[in-house]
Amino acid sequence: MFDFEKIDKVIHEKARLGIMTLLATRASWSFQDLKAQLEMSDGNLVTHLRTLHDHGYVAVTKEIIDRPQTSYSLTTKGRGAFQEYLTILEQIIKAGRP
Amino acid sequence: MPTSTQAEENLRVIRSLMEKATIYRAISAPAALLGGTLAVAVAAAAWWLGGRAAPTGELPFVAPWLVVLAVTSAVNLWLLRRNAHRRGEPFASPGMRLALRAMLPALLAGGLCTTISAHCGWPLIASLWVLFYGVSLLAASHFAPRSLCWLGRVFFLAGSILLVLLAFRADAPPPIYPAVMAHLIMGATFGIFHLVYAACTWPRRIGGGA
Repeated sequence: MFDFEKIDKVIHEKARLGIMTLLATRASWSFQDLKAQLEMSDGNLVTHLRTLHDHGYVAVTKEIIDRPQTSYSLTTKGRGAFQEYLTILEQIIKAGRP
Repeated sequence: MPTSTQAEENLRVIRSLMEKATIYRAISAPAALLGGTLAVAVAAAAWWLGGRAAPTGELPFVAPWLVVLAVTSAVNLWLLRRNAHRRGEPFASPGMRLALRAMLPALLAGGLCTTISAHCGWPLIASLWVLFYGVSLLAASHFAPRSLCWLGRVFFLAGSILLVLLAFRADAPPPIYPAVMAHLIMGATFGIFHLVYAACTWPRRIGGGA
């Protein structure tokens, strides 16, 4: 029997899963690019990014390239947690097969 | 408690987002605007000069379009480099290498056709360029945005129709000088199609910053 308590509740939320997925595809993402890709409002995106940052999954970089810009990237802990989350999803699917 | 179905749905979302994130736009909207404008300008100039040079109708064809290609490509590469820098990616990103590998064979084939079919007339060469450009865009359609796929389809369709029309009218006397007709084909396709593409894909600012 699969232990469902293993699943990471921080990542297992639609918006945060989207953010983690995008961050896993590139070295870093600007706030505007994340917002455009995920079609989320400023407030919603900021809240979820803050949650992920508070759990140590996401690093924030503020720099000035032509204009002030905030970019986000996965930390080593975040990348590990995302990989583990994917593994658990696969296990759930396998456990659900007859 | 996540079920197997929910897990599958989450994996599908992850896959879809990852595919979207690896999409590569090989032609930026400002470069398309520049290329389209130059193409229409060259075609208009050819139409005007063609009328003036009616007795001979001889106009240079390949050289002006090579200049348009060089200018537009240089600006496009500069814009792609700037966008890559903004995203913190290398200029020769995996997406760009993938796009080049997919598009180059058709582009080179179009170029080669120019050398071997020069004696067949400029309208045929212009039609082949339109067709092969469409093929090159379609070759990159697996990782290109939908707008570029549509551009590829339109070029492919236009090139095919032009070739069929030229084949049917092979024995008929041309309505206008061949070089002028070829310039008009280029203006109507590379010019107008790219202007429409630029208008549809021009970056729009969405709301405020973080």
